[in-house]
Amino acid sequence: MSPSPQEKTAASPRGAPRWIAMAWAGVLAVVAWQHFPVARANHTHTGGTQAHIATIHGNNGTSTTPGDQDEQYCVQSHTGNINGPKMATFIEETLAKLAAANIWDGTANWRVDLWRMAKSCSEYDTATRGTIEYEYHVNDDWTNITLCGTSYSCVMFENPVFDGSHTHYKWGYSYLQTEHVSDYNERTRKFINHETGHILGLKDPDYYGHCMNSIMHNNLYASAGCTDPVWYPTASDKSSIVRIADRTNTW
Amino acid sequence: MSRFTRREMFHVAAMVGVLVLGARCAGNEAVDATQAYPRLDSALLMPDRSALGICVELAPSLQARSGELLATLRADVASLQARHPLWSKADFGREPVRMQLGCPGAAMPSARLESKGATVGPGFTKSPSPFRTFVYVLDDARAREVLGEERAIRARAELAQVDDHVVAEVSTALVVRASDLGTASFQETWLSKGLGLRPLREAAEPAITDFMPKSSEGSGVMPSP
Repeated sequence: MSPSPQEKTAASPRGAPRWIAMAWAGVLAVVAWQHFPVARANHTHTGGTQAHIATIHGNNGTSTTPGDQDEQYCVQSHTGNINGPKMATFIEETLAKLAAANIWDGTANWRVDLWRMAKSCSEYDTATRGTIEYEYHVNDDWTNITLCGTSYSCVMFENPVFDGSHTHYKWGYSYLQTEHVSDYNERTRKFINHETGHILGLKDPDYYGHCMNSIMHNNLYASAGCTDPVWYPTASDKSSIVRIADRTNTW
Repeated sequence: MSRFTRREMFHVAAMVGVLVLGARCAGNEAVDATQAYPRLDSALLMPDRSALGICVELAPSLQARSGELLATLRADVASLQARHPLWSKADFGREPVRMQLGCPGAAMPSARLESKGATVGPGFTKSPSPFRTFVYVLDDARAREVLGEERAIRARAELAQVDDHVVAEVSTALVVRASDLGTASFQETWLSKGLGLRPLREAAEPAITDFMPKSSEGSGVMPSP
């Protein structure tokens, strides 16, 4: 007579079979692989939703004068807590005046060629302002700007133009929170470079653990498990910009 | 006769549960299932737009002329369709153009608009409309208030999310005088801009002269790394 299942269980050895331990190890490894922030090789910077500024495909200026395929930008403070000219100077330094390896200016064989306008954005007439590709705005909160609110810096693209293969945008705006940029330190540069990366076409992490040595995947995205403190655009970031500028996007 | 003990079955069920939970909780943090995301390989800009859709709002004083004005605008679109080299590549020729009276939000600008940075229409939305372009047609009196010296103005009509904290224009507002419909400048310049196409004819932009030289030293706010 066969023993009942209950009798079988009672008769089993106290320890679990070895295959169960091995299977649990495998399950936990799979889950950990999905969740832990490991450095992965791939930027997902070639996707179909890579909005970017139109002028990064060309470079027709000189070393002393911007062309109409270069990028002009202006800076505007909307708060008494940030001195506009000082912030403009700091943004210019961050983008174009530090060591070449650590700045966006000159990326993609100078197709990213950043020129700061002398005055704040609102000081230009409508026609001139229309020639300025990027605008950096700083305020204590951006509740009037979608997806910014009171705690996020954010980016907006305006004026889509189809060029025969894809749509890009004539104008980009970066809305910076005062709290993110008021210290004029590496954290400030981190925000400036991250938002500029968006303007050029780079994306945020796509999922938890999508971390790498990148201004878009650094510890500003601690919520995604990213821990790299890098504050400048990395070789990987610049390589992605080259692909976008070359129009080799995979749609 | 079972080959597995109840305890082993419990472990297997628990493993499956952990795997399912792990898969559900990973990989989708940045994707909002309720958000429609743009596609930029097409000038239609949203994946659910199969045709070029244009909605039209008329100033109240123009309502009696709605048939005539819509017919003129249809002729303008047909003219641009015949002449613009990127019309087909933009996916505008995939299906017949759809035009209707009345736009989502039913906004009608009444105050002065700037030609950069203005929004006329719904603004940010998780579900952009089928309309690539919102055309607002003004009478002369209202046009003087809204457009000032400008012939027409393009603005954002709808914005959609493209990343965590990034939004992009996916529908364009075109604010125009009724008297400009049917003109060559409307077809070649403003209608092209309103559809996201490079204008067939465009005035040269002002020369850029007010820029900072690049040869100066760092700001001195912080030493270079």
